[in-house]
Amino acid sequence: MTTLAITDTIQEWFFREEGSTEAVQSLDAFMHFLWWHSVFWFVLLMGLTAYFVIKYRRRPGNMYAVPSPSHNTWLETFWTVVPSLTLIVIFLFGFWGYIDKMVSRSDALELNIKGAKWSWALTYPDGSGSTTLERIDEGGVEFPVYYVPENTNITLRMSSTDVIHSFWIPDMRVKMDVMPNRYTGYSFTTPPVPDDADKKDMWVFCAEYCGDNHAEMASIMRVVSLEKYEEWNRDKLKGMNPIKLGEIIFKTKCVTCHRVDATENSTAPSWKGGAQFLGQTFGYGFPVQFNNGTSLEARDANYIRESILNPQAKVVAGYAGNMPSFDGQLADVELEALIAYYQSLSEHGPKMDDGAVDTEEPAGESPADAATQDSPTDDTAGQP
Amino acid sequence: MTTIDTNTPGADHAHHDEGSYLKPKYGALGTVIQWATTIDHKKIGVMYLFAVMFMFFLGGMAALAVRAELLEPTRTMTTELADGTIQTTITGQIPLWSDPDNAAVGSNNYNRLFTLHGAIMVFMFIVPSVPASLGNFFLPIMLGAKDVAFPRLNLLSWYIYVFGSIFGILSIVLGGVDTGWTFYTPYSTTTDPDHWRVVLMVLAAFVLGFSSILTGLNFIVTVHKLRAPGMGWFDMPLFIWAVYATSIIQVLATPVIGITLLLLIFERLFHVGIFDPALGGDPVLYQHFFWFYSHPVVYVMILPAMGIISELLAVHSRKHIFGYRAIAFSSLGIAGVSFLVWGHHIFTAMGELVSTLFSALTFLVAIPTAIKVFNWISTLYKGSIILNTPMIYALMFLFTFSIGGLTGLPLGALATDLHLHDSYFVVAHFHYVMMGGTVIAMIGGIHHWWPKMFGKMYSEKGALTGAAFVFLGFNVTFFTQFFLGMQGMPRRYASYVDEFQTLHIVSTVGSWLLLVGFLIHLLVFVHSLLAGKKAPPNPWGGLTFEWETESPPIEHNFHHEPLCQHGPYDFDKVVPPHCDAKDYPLPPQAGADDAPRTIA
Repeated sequence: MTTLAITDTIQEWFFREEGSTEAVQSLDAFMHFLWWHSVFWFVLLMGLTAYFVIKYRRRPGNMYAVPSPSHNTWLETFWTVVPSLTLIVIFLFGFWGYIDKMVSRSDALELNIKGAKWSWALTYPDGSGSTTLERIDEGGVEFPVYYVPENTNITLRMSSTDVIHSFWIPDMRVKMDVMPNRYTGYSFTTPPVPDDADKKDMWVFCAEYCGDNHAEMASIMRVVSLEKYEEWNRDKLKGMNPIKLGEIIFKTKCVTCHRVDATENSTAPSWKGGAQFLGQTFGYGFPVQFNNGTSLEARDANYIRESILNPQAKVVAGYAGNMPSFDGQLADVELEALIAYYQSLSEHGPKMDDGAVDTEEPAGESPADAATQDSPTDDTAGQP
Repeated sequence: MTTIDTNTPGADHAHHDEGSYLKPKYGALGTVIQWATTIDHKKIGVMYLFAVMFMFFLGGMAALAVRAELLEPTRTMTTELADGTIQTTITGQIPLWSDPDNAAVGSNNYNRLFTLHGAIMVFMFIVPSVPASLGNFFLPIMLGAKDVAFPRLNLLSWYIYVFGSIFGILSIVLGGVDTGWTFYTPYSTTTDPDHWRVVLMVLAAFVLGFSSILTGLNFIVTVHKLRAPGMGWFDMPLFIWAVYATSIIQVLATPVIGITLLLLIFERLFHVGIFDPALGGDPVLYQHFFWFYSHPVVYVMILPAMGIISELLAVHSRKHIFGYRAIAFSSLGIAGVSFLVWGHHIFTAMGELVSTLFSALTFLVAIPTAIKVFNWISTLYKGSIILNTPMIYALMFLFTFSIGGLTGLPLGALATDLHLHDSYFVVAHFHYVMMGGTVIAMIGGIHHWWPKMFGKMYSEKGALTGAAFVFLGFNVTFFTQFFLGMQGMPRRYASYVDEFQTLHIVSTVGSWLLLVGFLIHLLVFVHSLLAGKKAPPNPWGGLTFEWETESPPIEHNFHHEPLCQHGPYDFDKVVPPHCDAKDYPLPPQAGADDAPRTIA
């Protein structure tokens, strides 16, 4: 009874809550074992130290050390061999747990992870990505939400478009670095949704330092029931306002380089219609100069499509052309949504009659900001 | 049976007038020049001591700012005031150094500060800390030598250290670097388009490496060549063994980091593709190169500290160290195995087979370390233990270093490392070993040798008060971070999700307690220099050579060449030099058939 209570307390201090899958529970049990192992040695050593310090403190009757052996082969062998044996046990436990995370299951759902400064883009097998952004902490930034089904084996195939990142799901007790020049990955089984809830949210953090907004490179992995996941998967792109969907995709994939306001940005062209800097005018319907000397009278949908799928084809003069291709990472409907969002940021865009773009926004606030404030309450668009 | 008269001050009349090495000779300007051009290892040691302590102060200030920033997560809060205007506040910023309208400035500053903290503490403080200051001062004296083998080289290495540090500080003053002290590629080769600041900081680490190599080389030759007559390898104090093992690592490993950093500079400046995949390089190769140096170098940081602990525990419990040879050989063992475990920093970036091999090798290095701890505790058995400041620090070391060592186990085990890697757990573990190990031992060592170095006693009460604050503050600051890490807090985060705030607050309050502790120590030392009682030659009853000469030592250390006639820890056989047998009685059996040998 009491030992159970102690174990629960330790579990809470260590990991906040009970491990949610079998694999996590066995890792937690290993951590508990290491804890008790450490407590044993620490109490033994510090207990002896305290005992010696008190018993042999310098005082009138104890002005000199009573001679005692300064060397004892048996004792020294003993305290070399015993810790060595326990270390072998710890190594083996660590090895088994590790292999369990590394071996990918054949029936697993494979998710593609792209790390880029400073966001995670998760792509489902059908090429689609997140359709939801959520703000969890008051005043904090919004993070993309990725739906996954419960009790399902998942294998991650991860790569980076710039520097090294690291994909850590603390609730699954596992992370692996995300590299620019190779695939890495790991496997895990998603936990069941708790009985008293309809979802279980798990944080995903970037654990390898990657620059300015490293601390904001997070996502939410939302575990839902299989039925819900399938429903979401089927309907996620249906009926969503394309401009809204485009904005979400922009915020999960494009925002690391592009901006939707008129402030000068030498990393990537602005999406804001009529923005002017570096000798260029930006935005849909505005003319553009390319670095090979050619130009275009007005940016149109075909140009945007080409720039997303094959960015090196035409590079805007004054830019390095660092953009990676998003070919294969966007479903058709997502590509169209991005173009719709791009158009909505310019006065040359098609006229809207559904009021999705608020043209009477207060001064100083960009359409993006206005949309941002809507989204937390409106994030279930496209969901049942 | 025999009373051997060796080092009585003034016994050798030829050097009768020789004064303290601290005595100024040629007026104010002359004294400055005298120090700046000195080849006396003691003066160089003292200059190093002040230099590394200044760096510790700078790095510490950065740490306090980092902790203050983490008191709150960075949030943009809007509140509507009574008159209807909307007020925006950004929380979780560095005090006195933030932009109230722009959260990005705050996190950029944070990233520069934690890099500053790491780079200063590692390259400019902790690597040279003990060997270059206490090592420089005491290694020759404990060997019975007049100086190190190459005194001019010694001065050169100090100047190289100063120039390297100036490069580092320059890169910070001119805008700072945000790569972390590890300079991982391709981030470090692509960040900051006007790349010269990163180059300057990397160059600083490169230059500092030379100082480290030259000091190591100097010590190795000194230990081989300048031991006093009669001093065999196993008559050397264990501090010397530790510094010797350290020097071997410095000489063998530092060139590797030198080459690596040079390659990094080449890649930045000339776009030679070595580490950056965009140029055809491999970023993990950089990590292998980097840790091939930087893992052994953590033993450069900790081994001399272990040497200090061996001295403190033996002298202040008047007890022969337990398992002398085991401690000596474990120093060399650690030095050797330290070259084979670098891969445990890269478990999350390597293949399964390599990770498994490195995990197994990592556990090997735990064994010699455990042996040392067992030996130290056994040394206390049947001792005559006095709880003065150096001893308190030695005991504090056993406490914090044991926690540091034991928390290394979940990091060496593969399954748990995949969770804990790059989290606050690693931060806590690292600080328990480096600060709870090296810094704590160094403060203990400074208190132990302070009377010898400066000829003044310090206030025991003041120092113990400082020690209490340091102990409390240290544990409050860093023990919480183990839990933060296990619960999912990644390291190097300028902000965090709300659920981590409570533990962050506790940790930050701990950092303030630490500050109070260090300020008390500083006051105690300043008071000692200005108004301290004159120190006797041997205040603790030590048996190693430094206690035979005066406090502070004369310019050539000894009036004439000392002779090694007893082991460094023969407290049961010899009355310590300059000590009264009344205060330092010998155990009865020693006198039964052999009269106690005294050194008059």
